[in-house]
This record gives sequence, structure tokens and C-alpha cells, in this order.
Amino acid sequence: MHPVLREVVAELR
Amino acid sequence: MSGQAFRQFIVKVHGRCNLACTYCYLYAGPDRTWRSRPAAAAPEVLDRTATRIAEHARAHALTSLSLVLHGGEPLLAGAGTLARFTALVRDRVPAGCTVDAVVQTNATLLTARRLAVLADSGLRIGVSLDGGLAAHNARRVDHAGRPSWPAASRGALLLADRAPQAYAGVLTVVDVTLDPVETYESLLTLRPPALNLLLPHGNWSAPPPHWAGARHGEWLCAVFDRWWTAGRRETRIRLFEECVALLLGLPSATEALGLAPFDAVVVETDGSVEQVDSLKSAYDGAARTGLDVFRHAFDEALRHPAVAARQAGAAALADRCRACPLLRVCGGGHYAHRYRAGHGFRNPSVYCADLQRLIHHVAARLATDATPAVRDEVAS
Repeated sequence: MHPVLREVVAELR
Repeated sequence: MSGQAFRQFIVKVHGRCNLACTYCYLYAGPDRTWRSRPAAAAPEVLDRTATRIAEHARAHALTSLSLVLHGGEPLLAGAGTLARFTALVRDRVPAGCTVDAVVQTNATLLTARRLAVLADSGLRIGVSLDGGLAAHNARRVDHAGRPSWPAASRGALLLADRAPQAYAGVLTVVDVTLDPVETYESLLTLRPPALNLLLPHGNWSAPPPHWAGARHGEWLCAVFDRWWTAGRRETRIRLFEECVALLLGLPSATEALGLAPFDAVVVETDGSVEQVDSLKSAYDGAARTGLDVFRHAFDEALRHPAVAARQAGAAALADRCRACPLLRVCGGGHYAHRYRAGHGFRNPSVYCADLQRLIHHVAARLATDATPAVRDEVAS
């Protein structure tokens, strides 16, 4: 008809 | 057989816009359904919609739902109308079901008083802008062709100053003729807590503007590198963070990537129940279901074949996509971008090469920037 990686991954956990 | 419950309810409180953006797929695209609909949702439409949302929440024991006030330009309905409707929905859903309410605006009509009304009613406010400079927003003009930027930038900064707790962020349509890093850095001056970068709607029969090679993918990679190497997370960028999530094997919260079943439904100003507007970029009437809130429960929309197709994951994809090594991350891209006249939606995305470019780029950065020591530790 790596600070950014660290912060992003910590949140995604 | 009905699918997964709807959890995102997009309500067109107003069906017209005070702007006439030159690239708008809603008013300048192939779909004409808006012309025959009332400009604003009548009180009885909003009342019935609130009842139907509550009915659906009860039937599916939802513990949370997203209420999105959209348009057109929703503020044309008046901030008071938006606040009252939000309160009505919150009042009618079962106890224990939280309502995350957000309004998406072009920001030109934001005033201190309207901001206060929206923020006090617990509405988050998202802004649509194509960059943080006048030149980036040259295509966002009013019906007389005048630039919207002076009013829009004033509204966005007022939001950042007066109601930062209600500021949802900025949605930006990618324009590959603009400098990607300049565009990103200029958006940061608006202090958005989050950004999303949207690929312009297009498909195989009506390709997106400036579509060549993986030009859009390269543009996104340039922004990714600037954001990723900033030394701190300057803002959230949904497309990139969802790409990371998918690469790590997590479920995603975006239409642009991944295989998650789509659970959003739209109520138009006349009470019609439709699929999301992006489908209107494909052909006239593409979002239509033939249902409305006066005669039909949302469960009936779940049984609509086109809705079911968007909840079918990989089963709804082209054979090539199902065999692709990037399937789980890419997911075939945005549904609207797969359309080809005469062939429907069972095609790869018109942005297939761009998505491959971005996914490989993000994966490479992720692999490189998890330091060797940590990688060894994980491997052991």
C-alpha cells in the first residue's frame, strides 16, 4: 500500500 | 495482531506556520493534506486526544509517555492553550504514568511571558534553527521573505537566559553548503543542552539537495571530530551519542539509526490519526491512516500495515540491508529516506554511503580513544 568518551559511555551504561 | 504500544504522541496543536522555510517538506513538499485541515486544533479535538492518550496509557500500563506539541508553529495556538492541554493529558493518564511534555518551536514567538507560562506548566522547549548565525538561517524566512533570524535568535537566547531548566535544545537540518565546524560552534553560542543534526529529507525519487558521494557523511564526520575532541562534552549531540550506543550494542533512541521499533503517532488538527510527518516528504498522503480520535482508539493505528512495517525491524528492510555488516547500527537509516516511487520503502537509505561513512568514523574514534591500557584490561 578521553573526557567526551568517558562521559558519554558513563551515561550510556 | 497489534504491535508495540505507542509511547510518543505528537499533537498538532496548530497546523500553520508563521515561517515559510524554503526547504520545508511539510508545506512545500509533495503532501497537500495540510491545506484541507483547520489551522488550529479545536478544543474538542484536544479534549478527545487527551482522552485517547489516557486510554492507550491505561490499556498498555504505560509508566511514562512523551507528549510532543508540534505544528506548524505550535505557539500560534497560544502558550496558554499548550499549558492547558498538557495539564489535561497529565490529569487524565493513570496515576503512575509520567508525561514528558515538550514543545518544538521556531522561537520567533517566544517572549518572557510565554516562556514563563510554558516553563511553569512543566513543558520543555526545543528550538529549530539551522545554525547560530544569520547566514546559516537564510532559508528560514517568513511569508514575505524576511529573515526569521533576528526574532529566532532573540527567542533562543531568552530561553537560555530565562528558562534554562526548560531548554530542551536545538534541532538543526544539515546544510552541506555551510562550514560544518562553524555551524556547530555557532550553535554553541545559543547554549543548547542538546543538539540533533537532521539529514534533510529526500529519497531515491527526489534526492536531497547537494547529494553527491558521501558529502553529508563527511559533513557529519567533521562536526563529530570537533565535538569529540573538545576536551569536554560541550553539549549532547543525539545522532552521535546514539551511534556510540548502537556500536556498544545498546538500544537506540533515534529514527536515524538502529532497528528499534518506532512507537510515535500523530494527531492532526482535525483529529486525524497519522504517521509522522517525515513520511510526507515521500508522496501526498503518505502519512494517512484513515483513522481519527473521535472514532478510533490508538490501538487501531497499531494494526495499520504501514505502522506495523515501522515496528518490524530488519524484516521491513531491503535484502541488501539485511545482509549488510552494519545492519544493527545503521538499521537502514531513516524510514522516509528509503522511499523510491514504484518500489515503496523497501530500499536502502538514499544516505546509505553517508551513514556508512559516519558509522565507520565513529567506530574508529571509539576504538582509538579507549586507551590501550583499558583495552588490554577489557580483553583480558
